[in-house]
Amino acid sequence: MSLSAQTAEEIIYKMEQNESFSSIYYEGVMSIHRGKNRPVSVKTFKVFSSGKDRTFIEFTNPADRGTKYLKIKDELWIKGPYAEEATKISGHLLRENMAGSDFSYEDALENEKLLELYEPYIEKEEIVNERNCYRIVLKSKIKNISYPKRIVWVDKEKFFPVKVELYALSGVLLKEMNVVETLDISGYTLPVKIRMENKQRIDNWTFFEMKSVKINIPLDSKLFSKQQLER
Amino acid sequence: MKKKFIILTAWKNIFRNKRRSLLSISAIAVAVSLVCFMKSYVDGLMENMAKNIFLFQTGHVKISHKDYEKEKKLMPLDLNISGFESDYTEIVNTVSKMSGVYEVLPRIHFASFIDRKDKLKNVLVLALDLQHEKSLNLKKKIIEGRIFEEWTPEKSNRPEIIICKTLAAELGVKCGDKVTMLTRSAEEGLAHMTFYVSGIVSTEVINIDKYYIFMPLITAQYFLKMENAVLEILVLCKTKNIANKIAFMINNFMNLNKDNPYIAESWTVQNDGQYYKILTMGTKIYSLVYLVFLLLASLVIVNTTMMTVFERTKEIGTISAMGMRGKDIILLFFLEAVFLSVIASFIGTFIGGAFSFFFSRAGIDFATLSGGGMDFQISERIFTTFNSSLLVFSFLFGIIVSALCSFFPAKYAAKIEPVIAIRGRM
Amino acid sequence: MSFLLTLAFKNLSRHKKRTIFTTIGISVGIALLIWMDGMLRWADNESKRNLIRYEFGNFVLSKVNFKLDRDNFPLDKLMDFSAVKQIINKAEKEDLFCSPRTGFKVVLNNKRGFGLFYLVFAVDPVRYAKTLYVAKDIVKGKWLSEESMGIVISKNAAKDLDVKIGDTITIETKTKYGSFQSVSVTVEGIFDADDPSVNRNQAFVSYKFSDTFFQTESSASEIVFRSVNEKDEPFLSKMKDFINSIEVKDLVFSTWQELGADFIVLSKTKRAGTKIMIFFLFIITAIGIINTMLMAVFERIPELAMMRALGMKDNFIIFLFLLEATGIGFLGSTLGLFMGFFLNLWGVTKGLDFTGMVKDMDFGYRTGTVFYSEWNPDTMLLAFFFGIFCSVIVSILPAKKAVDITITDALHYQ
Repeated sequence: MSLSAQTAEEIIYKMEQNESFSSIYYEGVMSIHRGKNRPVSVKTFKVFSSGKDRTFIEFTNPADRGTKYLKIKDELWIKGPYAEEATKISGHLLRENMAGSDFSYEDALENEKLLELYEPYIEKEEIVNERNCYRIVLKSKIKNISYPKRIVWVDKEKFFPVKVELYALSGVLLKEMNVVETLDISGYTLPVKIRMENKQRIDNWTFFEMKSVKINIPLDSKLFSKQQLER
Repeated sequence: MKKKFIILTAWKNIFRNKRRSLLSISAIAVAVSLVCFMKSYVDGLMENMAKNIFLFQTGHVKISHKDYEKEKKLMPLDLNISGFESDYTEIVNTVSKMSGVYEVLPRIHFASFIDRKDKLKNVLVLALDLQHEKSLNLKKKIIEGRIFEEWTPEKSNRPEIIICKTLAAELGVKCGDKVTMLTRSAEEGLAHMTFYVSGIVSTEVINIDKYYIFMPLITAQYFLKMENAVLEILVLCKTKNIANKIAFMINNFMNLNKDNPYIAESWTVQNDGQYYKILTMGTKIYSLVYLVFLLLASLVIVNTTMMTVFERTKEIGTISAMGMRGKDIILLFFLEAVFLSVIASFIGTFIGGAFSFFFSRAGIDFATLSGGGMDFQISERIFTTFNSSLLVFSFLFGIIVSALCSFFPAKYAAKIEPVIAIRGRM
Repeated sequence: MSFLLTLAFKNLSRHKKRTIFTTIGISVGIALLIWMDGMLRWADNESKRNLIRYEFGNFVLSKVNFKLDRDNFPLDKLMDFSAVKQIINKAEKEDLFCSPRTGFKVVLNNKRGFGLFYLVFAVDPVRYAKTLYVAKDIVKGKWLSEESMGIVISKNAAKDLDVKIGDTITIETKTKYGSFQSVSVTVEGIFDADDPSVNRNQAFVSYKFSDTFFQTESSASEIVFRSVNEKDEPFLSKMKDFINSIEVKDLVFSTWQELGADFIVLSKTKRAGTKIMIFFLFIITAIGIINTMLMAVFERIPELAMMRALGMKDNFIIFLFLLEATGIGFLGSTLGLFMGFFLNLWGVTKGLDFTGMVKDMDFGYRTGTVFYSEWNPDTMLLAFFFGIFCSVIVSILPAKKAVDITITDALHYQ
């Protein structure tokens, strides 16, 4: 019986621990590919996050400079650089993709623990993206869930998600996320270069990078307020 | 000599029985004036509809990205016109110089949400460049406040829009208010901006006033992150009949560039030729209505002239007993009818023309008349047409119909035996 | 009196041609009036019928919260199956056709990368076919059965997506529980409804399908009710009473007038507007009548003078004219009625076919592409009497004038 024999729950738990910091700051870059005939668009932004339910994002690339987003629990607000008040994004707009990437607003709003939503089981161990991984299938255990099935390849050594597949209820693969690079910081292993692909459209993917990552820094809670957004 | 006599007699006969002549004249005159007015009304209506469609939807020719039309329902802002070497102005400048082109209108037509206290309401926005838009004189249509000013981030003023009056009323927005809009930008992210309402406008086209906001092209380009690009370029030609030719010329010019992604389409083929079909069908329907009027009016004239002839059978009998023969009688009655109808048509055309002229200036309140709200772009106020061909048409109509209608009874009358005629009525 | 009648009649037959021509004039005007009114009435009523037959039935039941947000068809405000079953059972006992339906805002696509938005209704196929007419308008393939796992789309959708019967399309949406769903489905049927708004963006699947793929559990956004005679009452009251008596709360009825409000307003104003057009028709008809009567009067002045000289009272003479006018009016109206009847008959049976002329034609009316007429006995009657009435009124003044002249002058009148 090897010491490393772990249950699926334990593995997922460890993976999520790797993502649970009391706060995080980073500068993000997204390169968005929308099919062969359209140009690649690049977005840069600053992210401030406190726990998992409060996040403040400010875009810094020239085209979107000054656009801010605020997520508080399950509400998402936007304020453009030349807007004088914030607008809540609700209803169908939440299904839209953030800044045109392959991450939807809903994806961004996700803040529940996987173990509360899914029943995991280890399917097998395999090598993915040159890493030894547990292939864990997550089947939903509640009904109200966006992706009823996920498959996560968790790195055996460092417990970060190497690859994630998101499925529709019918079993059709909707999105595929591959971690290309990680960063070891303050005891956490953080994926800092991710490729997200929309499997329902041809040649559509987003490359996401986290730079200048700072973990567990003190953040003023006033930052996560509508007033701050509207300043 | 004989002919002259007949002509003279015909003329004199008109004045003999003033009452009868007056009756004939007035009947014909009324019919002619109605025909004249109806034609100007129908023509005015069709012209108006066409004008609005051209001005707001199709232009005579529309230049857009080849793939835009297909995906139009999804409003793909990135399938825009950004020119070949620099930007869209290349195309605008070249096309403006083509002969037959009257106005070139670069525009961005898009859907947006207005943030109304946490409820997002759908509106349509037309962003345009006032410098190019001569036909659509927005400035004149402002009913409150003033026209918008262009805004760019470098300027110190604020982004401005004008709202159509019906939409403004529905949203509860007044001049000077600010309004925050959210929409998808050209890069498929969300565009979010606050605008100030500098004025309220009334295009007087019912379906436009219900849904539209206008903003400067430049402001929209910043809002939508579409710098130096537009979604469509409408071209207005000197007349709509040369639209196909102009479209052809524009396509030739654009195809000089390798991998030209743009296409110019004449209004007759846009949307599977839908507008063309609508206008032709609209014209057909109204022509039908108009034909009905013509028919009725003709019947009145027929009625009058026939009766006139028939009740003078006694007179005819007398004349033929005195030696005037068939052909001459026909000519006599025919000429009388012609003289009468000339006078009547003149009067009728004058009256009808006067009404047409009046309404061509004052306009008719179509909204009340038609019950508004068709999907066609019909203005609230329709101006009847008024031109020389209208007058000529009405005038000729009166004469021709009356003349025709008197020919046959006149012929019939000429055949009557003198004896039978003198004896009494038919 | 009978003497006057006989005289009037004789006079009319003496001037046959005049009588005939005036009659024709009146009759054409009246016939056209009847026909136009018939067509417009049809368009208006058909639109209202279609609101009932294709879109909302007579009324619709849903949760209060659902109704407030109906544009979005929220899936968290549905009525569950047991409630639905209860209500349907009651309704069917009361001579109501009804069916549950659940609306999903979806993207349908044929090729990856290009999808269009539609409103897919999960329905009880058998009941829906009885309640709303869309099942009757299948032009290719067939309507859903309870076991169907396919989709029925409109002709417009088939063209936009470039698919035919047997082809597969993908439905992208979110299920009742908010899960993303992407399902391939076969096109089982294509319809061409008489209601353009249904053609524009509605598609249908069975509850079996939506229970399997959309997690509906047979719960419904709405229950659509259509009464046997297509009247709202007394059915609506009965159902309201029933709803109040059962435990299911927060339900509300919406009538088709409410849900189709924007059309209703339109139709009221349109009717007013077209009446004005009809008015113009009247004017022209009236002119014909006026003209004839005037001529008739004036040319008979000497004849009348003779009669007056012989002792006939002025009033009798006026009355005589009025009788003749009535006679002409009657003839004209009858002929007009007759012609109008046949025009209407043609309109009711064959109609004017605009198919093929325009694709998404929108006059604002919710009708198919063939424009029919409708029987309008009230207008027919009205027009009939108007013809007579007009003739009479118009003759009064000239008749009076005819007797104003002194007898001697009249005798010389020419």
